[in-house]
Amino acid sequence: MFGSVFRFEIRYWLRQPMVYVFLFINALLVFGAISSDNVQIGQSFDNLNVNAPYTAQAMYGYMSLIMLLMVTAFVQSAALRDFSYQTEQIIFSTPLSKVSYLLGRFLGACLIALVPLLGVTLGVLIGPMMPWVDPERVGPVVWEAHIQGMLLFGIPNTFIIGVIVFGIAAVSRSTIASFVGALALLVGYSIAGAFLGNLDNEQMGNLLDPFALGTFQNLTKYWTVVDRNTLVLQPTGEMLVNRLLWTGVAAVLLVLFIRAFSFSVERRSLFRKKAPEVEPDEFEAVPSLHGALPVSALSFSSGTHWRQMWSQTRVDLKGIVKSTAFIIILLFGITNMGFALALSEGAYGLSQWPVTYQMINLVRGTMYLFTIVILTFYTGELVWKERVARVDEIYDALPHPIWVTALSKFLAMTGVLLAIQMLAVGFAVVAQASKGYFNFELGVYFWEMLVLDLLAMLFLAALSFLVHAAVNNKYLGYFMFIFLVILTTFIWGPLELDSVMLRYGQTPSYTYSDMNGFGPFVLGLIWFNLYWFLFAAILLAGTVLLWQRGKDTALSVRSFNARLRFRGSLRLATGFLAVTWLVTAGFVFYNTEVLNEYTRTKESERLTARYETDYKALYDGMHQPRVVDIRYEIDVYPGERDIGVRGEMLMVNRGDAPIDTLFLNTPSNLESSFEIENASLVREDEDLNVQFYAFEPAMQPGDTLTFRYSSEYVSEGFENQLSFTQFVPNGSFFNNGLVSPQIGYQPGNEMSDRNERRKMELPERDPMPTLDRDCTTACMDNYISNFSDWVTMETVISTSADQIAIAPGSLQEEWEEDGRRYFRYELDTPSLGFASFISADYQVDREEWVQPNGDVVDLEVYYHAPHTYNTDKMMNSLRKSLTYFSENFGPYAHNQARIIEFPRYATFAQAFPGTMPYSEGIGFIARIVDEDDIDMVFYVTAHEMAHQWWAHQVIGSWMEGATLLSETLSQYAAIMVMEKEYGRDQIFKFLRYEMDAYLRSRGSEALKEKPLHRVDASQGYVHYRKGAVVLYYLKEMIGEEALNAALREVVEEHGYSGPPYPTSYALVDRLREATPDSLQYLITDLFEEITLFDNRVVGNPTYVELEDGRYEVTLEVSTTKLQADSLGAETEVPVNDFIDVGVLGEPEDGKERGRPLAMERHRLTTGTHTFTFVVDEMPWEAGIDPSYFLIDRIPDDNLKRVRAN
Amino acid sequence: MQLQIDNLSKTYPNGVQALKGVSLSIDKGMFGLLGPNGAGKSTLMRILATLQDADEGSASLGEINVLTQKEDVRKVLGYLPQEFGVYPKISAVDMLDHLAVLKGVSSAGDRKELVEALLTRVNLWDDRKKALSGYSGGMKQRFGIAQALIGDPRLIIVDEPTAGLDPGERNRFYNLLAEIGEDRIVILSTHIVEDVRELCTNMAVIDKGELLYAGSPDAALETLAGRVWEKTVAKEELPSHQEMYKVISTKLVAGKPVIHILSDQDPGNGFRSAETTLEDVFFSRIFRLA
Repeated sequence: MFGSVFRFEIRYWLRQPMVYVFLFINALLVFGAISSDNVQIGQSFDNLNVNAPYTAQAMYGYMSLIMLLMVTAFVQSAALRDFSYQTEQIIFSTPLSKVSYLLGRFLGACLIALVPLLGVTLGVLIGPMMPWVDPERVGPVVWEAHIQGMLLFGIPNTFIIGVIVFGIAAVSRSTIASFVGALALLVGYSIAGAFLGNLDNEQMGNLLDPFALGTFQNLTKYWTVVDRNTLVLQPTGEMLVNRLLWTGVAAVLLVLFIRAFSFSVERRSLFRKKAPEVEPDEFEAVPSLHGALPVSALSFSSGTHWRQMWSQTRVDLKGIVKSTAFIIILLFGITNMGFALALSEGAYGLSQWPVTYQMINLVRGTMYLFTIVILTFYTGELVWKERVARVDEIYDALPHPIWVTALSKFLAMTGVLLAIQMLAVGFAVVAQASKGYFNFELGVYFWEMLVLDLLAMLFLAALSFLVHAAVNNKYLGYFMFIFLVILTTFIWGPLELDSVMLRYGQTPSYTYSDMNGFGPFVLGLIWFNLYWFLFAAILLAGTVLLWQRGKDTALSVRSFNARLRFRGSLRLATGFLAVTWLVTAGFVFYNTEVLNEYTRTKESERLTARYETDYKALYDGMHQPRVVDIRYEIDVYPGERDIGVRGEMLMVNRGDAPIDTLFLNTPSNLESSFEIENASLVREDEDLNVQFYAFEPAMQPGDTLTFRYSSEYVSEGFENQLSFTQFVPNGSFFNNGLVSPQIGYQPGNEMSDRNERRKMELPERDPMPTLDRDCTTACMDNYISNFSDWVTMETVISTSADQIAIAPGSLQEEWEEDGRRYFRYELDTPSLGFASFISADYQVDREEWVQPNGDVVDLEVYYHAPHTYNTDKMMNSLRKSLTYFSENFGPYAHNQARIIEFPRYATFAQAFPGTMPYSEGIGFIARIVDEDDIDMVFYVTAHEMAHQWWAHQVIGSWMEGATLLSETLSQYAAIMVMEKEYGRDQIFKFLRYEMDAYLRSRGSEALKEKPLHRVDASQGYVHYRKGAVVLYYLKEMIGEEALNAALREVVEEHGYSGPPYPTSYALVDRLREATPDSLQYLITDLFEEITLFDNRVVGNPTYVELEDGRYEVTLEVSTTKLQADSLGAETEVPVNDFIDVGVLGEPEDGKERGRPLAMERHRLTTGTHTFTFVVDEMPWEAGIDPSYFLIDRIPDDNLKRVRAN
Repeated sequence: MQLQIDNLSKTYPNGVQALKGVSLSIDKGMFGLLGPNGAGKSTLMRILATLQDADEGSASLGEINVLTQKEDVRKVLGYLPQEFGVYPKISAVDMLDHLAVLKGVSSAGDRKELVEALLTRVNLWDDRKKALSGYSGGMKQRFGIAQALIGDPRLIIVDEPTAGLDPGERNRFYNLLAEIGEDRIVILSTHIVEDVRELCTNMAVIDKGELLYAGSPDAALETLAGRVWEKTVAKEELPSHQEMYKVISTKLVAGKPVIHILSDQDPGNGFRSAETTLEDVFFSRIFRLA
């Protein structure tokens, strides 16, 4: 019996187009993702072979999410077919058994549901064969990836989804309930994702993910490019456990569902009691037929129409809110959102203060998907409500105008969306309060969620209504709507049309900032919303015209009815809307395309390429004058968002040849004029902002010339996308690169992405010149600027009366003039030509700190008044950093150290001479409650402070390894200050995150991983993350004193010196000298090679209690050392290294690790080693390199619990 | 007020011609529309109820052009479709109130009074708070009647209203209709001949979209007076009789076929004169015998 049901099911589906359509869709999606970098599924695989086994395997995983829909379609149809065709009475009265009926149907449908997954296989196999695919990125076909993709994801996920959806559908006999089951799985996946975000919860997340996709990502996170191009994840360890767990759960559920299924026409109720049968009426006396019905006045006035609209809105609103699907989807959304709100975390496992904009982002990321599902589903439901309920004939024959119907359904949708939004706000506020944050900023919630986001949703709803009214087929309507939304979002990119006016319902993107509110974005948001609002209103008018009333669906009849409707007030209203919309569109167009022109994305890519092709060969490295002194006069007009800059630069010919041509990069998007002594403009390339000047007479060696310029930005109207978030009402922050010209060809402007370059037919390039030990001419530029060295600078900066403006150097003068504030700053020490200018309404905390030589340094924190949370920590960090650095590296060079908050349009902190702008989005709202938490504010401040030595005193030359001198050493310096303040445990925790980030990022390296001494400026994961781990380890091995002494020598030799500028060898050589002979290998391993370890405990460490009450611990460890090449291919090298082995005690409450009971440093060789320790206390854990000093591919197996022997 | 239908034709996109040049005048009172399933009754009624559009012809209700002044028709229309459902999760009283608003009963007080009266009249008062979706077929039909009566309509169209009603309910419904139908136009479509005989002052027979008869039931009977004959026959005899005579109908009486035939003279051969019924009129028209 089972066999025949099963075969019937298969044959049934093989005749249905759905199987092949799904197969085709999957194949197309995967084919697109494989063969083009513009199509992306899940994540970017751009740095790998297009058909890398990792990519192939991941595709099966990601497609599980899409299969959720497809499997649902198959199995729920299989489960409900007899009920929807009402053949259940016939089937259930045959001798078929329940089990064979259900299992046959289920397994048949499941097997068929696997067919579309073959589309993944096809896509991965065919994609690489396309002629446009770069042959260099095609690897061999790895069948194992496909097999494991099917075994790990395809088959189990289909089964798991199938059981849940089929089971619910069969038992409840309801389509909606089964869709809800599918949604539940999605929520499970998302919750597992939330767990995977924190290093301490990874294991939990690995098991919780019902699709094992998060598990896959987590287990492969340290895979390098070579790994990803060659390896396949095997079903072992946590992956295997996850698969067994979920398949097991599904199998048990299947049995339960089969038991619960009632093999009869009567449904066994799952959720609630069946509505009581209505008793047939008794045959009672005929009620009075006489006595006329009350005659009520009929009114067809507009007042009646509004009342009708209200009544219909109420009925529809209640209908949605009471429907089971709505409640359940909403509950899922809330669950999803609730987890995110409760678990929200920032970097290093730290929590942030739950400021309102963060909450809003979380709500958007977790709730809106569900809201959009509700919107999509219920707009269709509302349009079809009367017809589905079969009240349409009664309803359509009533005398209400049809606009009442259309409009009230739109209003009902509005009501539902508004209610959901308000509910979400409520949850967010509760989440804030529960974290002890009470500055709710209801205004921000109101504007972002109840106005802007709600409007965006309503625009979608209007489109959906129109589509459903026009298409007049429910499912085609859903499809068309989704198709249109996707189309209007994605079609314009390839067509090179960037105008937001073409992207239905979208507005220029905006960022709310505590400091600046909606600031510069307001005008654009208002106009774009008005533009779409009117457009949506026109769509609604169209909806009214096309709305199906009555039974005739023929096109001729519908257009006849549309003409009948299009008269009177509807005609007037539509005409009015159309005219207003056209006028608005004209105004928006004028502002975004005429008043504020912009360069289209593709065009700017071509321009970037042209800069290189046209000028690099001739002008890169051409001898140019150097800037030695700069005077700025800057006027900031915060309210107007205008800026005026006048600069006077002194240029010197430092070389030994005359200069006859000046290559000038003018500030883009600013109106500028230049006045250069002895020079005249000879050529201009306006598109690229390049100008050439000829010196007449030529500039002789040693000659000095003045260069005056003025640049201004006057903001007008609003833009398609705001171009300058640097100029805003409160918190203007810009650097000199933005507002002043640059001299000479700038390699930094070249296109860096390797694949993009190939597309533009640009040659492969190294981001920086190759490291050269004996550089002479190649070290003449530092990596910050190639046209200035150590400059003197004076700035007069003015701003509005309520703001403070800050420029580099000491404040010399401050005055008011014409209602504006003026400040004059002067650099105390010649510094790098790298300056920031800031203006905002600040609170200032001030302190003084005295240098060892007695000089006073002003410590200042400028902050947005409400952001007081961490200013004390910043001040403390400034003080501690200055103390440690001046003691160990040399004196501080400025008379002030300033931290200045700027709006969160960018989220970084950056060090300028004596000045450290710091985004409101990071430290200012970080929330450090637990004493074990990493004090990120303290750390970032210390890091930026360290740059005052490492970058602003010692600056590397424009060459690989430059950032070792600045970023890595600043990391080290910051860690040392942090260690003094918070102790070693915090550092260990910090370094675990650094190591995790390093190992993770290696896999997504787009070019080549380089060892530290040759690191590229763009390789943050190497110079920050690996650098931190490596330097701390070196300090551990050679001692803080020796290391700091070496660093001090570097400062003494290279501080404020150059050109020529030092290379990374200036440091590495110095460290080599400071390192004893026995440890010389360290310098090679840490700086000159990419070295990794695989250290682990073998078996379980054991202990015996000795007679004297002490414990003897026996421990076997193994160690392997690897060297990786630039793509991550590893070769084993012999170990001959000093490595710690030790025993730890039980951790105290709330601590992650216990106190070391024994710790020994041994010179280990490759292979296994056995150690015995005698310790005083009960041992807890034992292992190799327990402090994670070494970069270890799998750090988790370094320690294991000690068990009694 | 008179409903005047002229030469109304309707063809569906699939080629089925539902109405072929139907012309009718309908005055105040009950008007029965007789025809077998698929005759075009519902199409005609839906056109009159503004739910469908005719391809040709015209229809007017007094001064109102039914085909173009749909809003005006709807203001005076009460319509009970052949099949209808209800919104889920809404009570009878709420739904009726909502429909009354849409009908134009704007004042809340009037509406409350009207809804109460209607629900009492159709005997649903005790069940008014129950969800409509839980109503039995008969209760639902009564609700349908109640909504058709909102707003004192001048034109009431009821399409197969008694399907699914038990005999008692059917009686009550017809009494109600008869009472209401005194001073307005009530069009009742049915395929049950007896209904028309009992209720209607005028009637029409349509089949395959064509109007076969229009007039009073009495006049219709008159046309066949003395021309209908009946005979009990054996099963084997049926085919030969069907060839020989204009057979109006074949019915089983106590398990034996009784045939009615149309004949101007006494056909002899064991036939006896039968009392003419409306059913005879109906079938003879449909089979184009007379």
